[in-house]
Amino acid sequence: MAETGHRLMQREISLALADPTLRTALKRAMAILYQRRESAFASIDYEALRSRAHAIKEAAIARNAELLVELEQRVLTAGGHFFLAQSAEDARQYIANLARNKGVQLVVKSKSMTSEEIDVNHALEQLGIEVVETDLGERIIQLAGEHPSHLIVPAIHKSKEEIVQIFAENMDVPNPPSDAEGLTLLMRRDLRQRFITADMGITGANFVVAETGTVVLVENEGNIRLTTELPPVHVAVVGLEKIIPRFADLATLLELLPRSATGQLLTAYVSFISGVASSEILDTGRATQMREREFHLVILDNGRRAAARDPELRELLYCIRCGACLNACAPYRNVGGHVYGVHPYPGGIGCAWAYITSGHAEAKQINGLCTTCSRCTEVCPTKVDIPWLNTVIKQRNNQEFGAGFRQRVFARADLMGAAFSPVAPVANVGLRTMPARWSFALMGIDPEKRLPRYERETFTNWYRHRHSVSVGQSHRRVVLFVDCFMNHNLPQVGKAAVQVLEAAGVEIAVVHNSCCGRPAMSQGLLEVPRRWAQQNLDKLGHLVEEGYDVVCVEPSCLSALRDDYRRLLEQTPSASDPRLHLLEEHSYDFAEYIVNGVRDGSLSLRLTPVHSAFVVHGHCHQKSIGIGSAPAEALRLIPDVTVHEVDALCCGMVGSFGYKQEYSDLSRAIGEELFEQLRAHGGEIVACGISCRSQIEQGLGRRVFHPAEILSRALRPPLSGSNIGGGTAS
Amino acid sequence: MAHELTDAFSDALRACGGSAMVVSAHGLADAVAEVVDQERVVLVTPDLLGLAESLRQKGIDARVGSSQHSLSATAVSLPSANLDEVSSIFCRAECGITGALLGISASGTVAIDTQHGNAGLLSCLPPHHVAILREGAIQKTLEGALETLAPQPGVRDCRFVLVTGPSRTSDIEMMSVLGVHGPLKLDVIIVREDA
Ligand code: SF4
Ligand code: SF4
Repeated sequence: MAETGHRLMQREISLALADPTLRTALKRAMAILYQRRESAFASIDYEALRSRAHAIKEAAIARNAELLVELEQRVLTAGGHFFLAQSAEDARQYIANLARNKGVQLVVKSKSMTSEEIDVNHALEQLGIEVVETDLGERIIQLAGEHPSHLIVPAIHKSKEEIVQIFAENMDVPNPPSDAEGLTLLMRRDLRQRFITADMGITGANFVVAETGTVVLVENEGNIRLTTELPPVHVAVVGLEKIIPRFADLATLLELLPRSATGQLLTAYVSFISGVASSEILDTGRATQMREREFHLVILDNGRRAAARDPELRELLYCIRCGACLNACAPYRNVGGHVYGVHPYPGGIGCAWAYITSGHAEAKQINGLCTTCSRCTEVCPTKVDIPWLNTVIKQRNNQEFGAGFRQRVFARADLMGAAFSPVAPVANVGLRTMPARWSFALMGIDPEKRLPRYERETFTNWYRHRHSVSVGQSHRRVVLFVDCFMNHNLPQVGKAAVQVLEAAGVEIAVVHNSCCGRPAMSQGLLEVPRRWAQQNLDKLGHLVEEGYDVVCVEPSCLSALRDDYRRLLEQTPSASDPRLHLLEEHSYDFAEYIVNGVRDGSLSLRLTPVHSAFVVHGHCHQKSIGIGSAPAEALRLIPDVTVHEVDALCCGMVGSFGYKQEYSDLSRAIGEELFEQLRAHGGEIVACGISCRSQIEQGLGRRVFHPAEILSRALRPPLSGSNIGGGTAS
Repeated sequence: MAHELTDAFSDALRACGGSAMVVSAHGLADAVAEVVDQERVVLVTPDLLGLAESLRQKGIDARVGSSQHSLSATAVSLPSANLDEVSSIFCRAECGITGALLGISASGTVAIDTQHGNAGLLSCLPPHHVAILREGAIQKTLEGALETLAPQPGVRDCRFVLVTGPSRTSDIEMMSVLGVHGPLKLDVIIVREDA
């Protein structure tokens, strides 16, 4: 069963990757949206705004029951109708009945993911009612008989030539114009008539205010305005999570939504509708049944109230559907929305929406597409932790459908290391023999990908037996976090880090190797990492209390200490342990620690030129916690150095993601963007994460170094200049 | 100091494809006549009846875009009984003129009351929308504007729209095209209340 799922996914991905139109279109669109967003936020305090937005949504979801009551009251008082639909079926039925009773023949609709969720078009068409989408992109998709592939730009995957073709075939226009202006004008004329004659307009809403009953609709084209103003009946279908308590909450959310979605300060139109429309154009009534205008608000539950009660899934409901996370998501950017299935919500956030609204099996299909790289978390205006939601869903899927053998293997980087390091020479050869690769293939691991080499002398062994170094009187003390990969696969990185830190006058302590828990977390096996989180909290917590800082060489481990432990321990007594906060505060990335220390004068490093140029790729987790340029800044401490940072989103390996058979093509495709940038720059490649390192070394055939290795090289006079590092791939 | 807001407003509006012009109260009709120069039918909201009359005197076919408004001496009102005729006038209109509740300088936005006088349709159906904005009604931020616009307790119906530039789309290959379902052109005439 699982195998069929994997194979299906693999095929979908290859199809998408093999579609050059799709890939060019996506690349262009994503780059534009991403960059527009950046400039839109340039002049305002983004962090303060999003904290406010998060708080507003948090309060709204917590109070959803009372807000529902208040909202219903407001809508009824204003002469509207109110319906709370438990399920998609309920909502469909309500709208279909309404349309039937009113003798509706033509419905105009404006883009609304919620109405896609309940598939209202289908229900109406079965009654013989014509349903016309009016958003330009959505209409193109409707004419093509497809589903939208992006929350904001539904036809993002279509080229202009394809659109001309769709118009020619479906619109009775033998020779449609070939420019975007002409096509748009053609659509304006075609739809105008339908707006005038439609009997019912269906919209979604971006926000609904409980206090005033106001429905808020954000758009650029004007089709929503016409849909709400012209037809005698307006139905707004709105997810329950969109109810916010007060009118005064709107400013914050409206500052964020357009900026995040399209990079606009405000969209062309934001409509505020409280009460029933009054346009006199319909004074005479169109059909005999419709002498009066009507407004119906359909609030859709469909799993949302259950999610609101679920502490682990609740924050999904803070999502305001801006689509920014898609634009930041490397898998989405490479394959587009359709690979995520026909469910209306694509991307990592789509998996969570699918989980609560359409079913666990659907969510399971696309859960693996989220690498949990965390790149999306910086851009989410309401601070939804999408990778965490995907991790929780993976864990629940494991419980519901069983965890695979492959997951259990990838989960235990610690055990693999402990098993293979002592027999490293044999293991390194053995893992590359045919039988080993066949068994990989059987497990669903791409046999072409090389697992990192194991080193016989682990870091811990080396550290234990080395001559201790006196650092003189030191006022900074560091516990070096010995992660599984550094210990077993890249001990040279740990050694370099020790040398650099000691040279900078830091006193070092090393505690017995402990896995941070990330490998298991990324497999959705949360019990093991929960234990480790507790152990590490105990072990590191008291050192931090004694004045130690924790330094990680692997950014993923740092993100476990800084962000994930809070999550993992949320439902345990340790949630209120003050050491948890202390540990978060006092954990650093190696490069970050050095740069901060040198800057504030607490560390001093004497470095000599190394006569090399460097090209640096930042790790996703460094970027997501806002220290993306720390590695480059650390290298810039070296005199006369040239450092270039590439800005590719992600390396594509992300832990075990790239090793999985069904994602290995996608992983390569994601990596290609990075490789291209690295190829364009001749310097030595520097990257922090072990997966970035393996991906680049395998994909490009060039060696990769950790910043610690480069800095340790610069500690010595340039003449002795051999490097200390070794690659992960031979 | 008020002029600073006006300048910021005009710049922001220009940046999103609209245009702004500052006039004195008695120069309003001339200014409007200039921007609607070529247009055929022009519809105005009932509160701008005086403006409609001035425009007609200048030879522009300006009508009050509301069937409920009683015929006045010069301004032609819409017939009230015939839907087809009404909607055809709306669809033929080349320009809609409305007032504006306020402006927001940070984004070049005007707020239009869509509850009264068909202003919602007048500002959306014709390819050209002209909004008349009092200079003193320009505020700095969205937050302040929404405070002013918030529905008052006890008020049953309250509908308005924030308009920021002409109607637009990027749905075809991310190319920005103006005038999809709403106006292609937006002019905001800012009336300076001179002493
Ligand atoms: S965590 Fe990474 S892969 Fe997952 S949705 Fe976010 S950006 Fe995409
Ligand atoms: S999760 Fe955040 S970024 Fe993604 S669509 Fe929702 S609000 Fe936007």
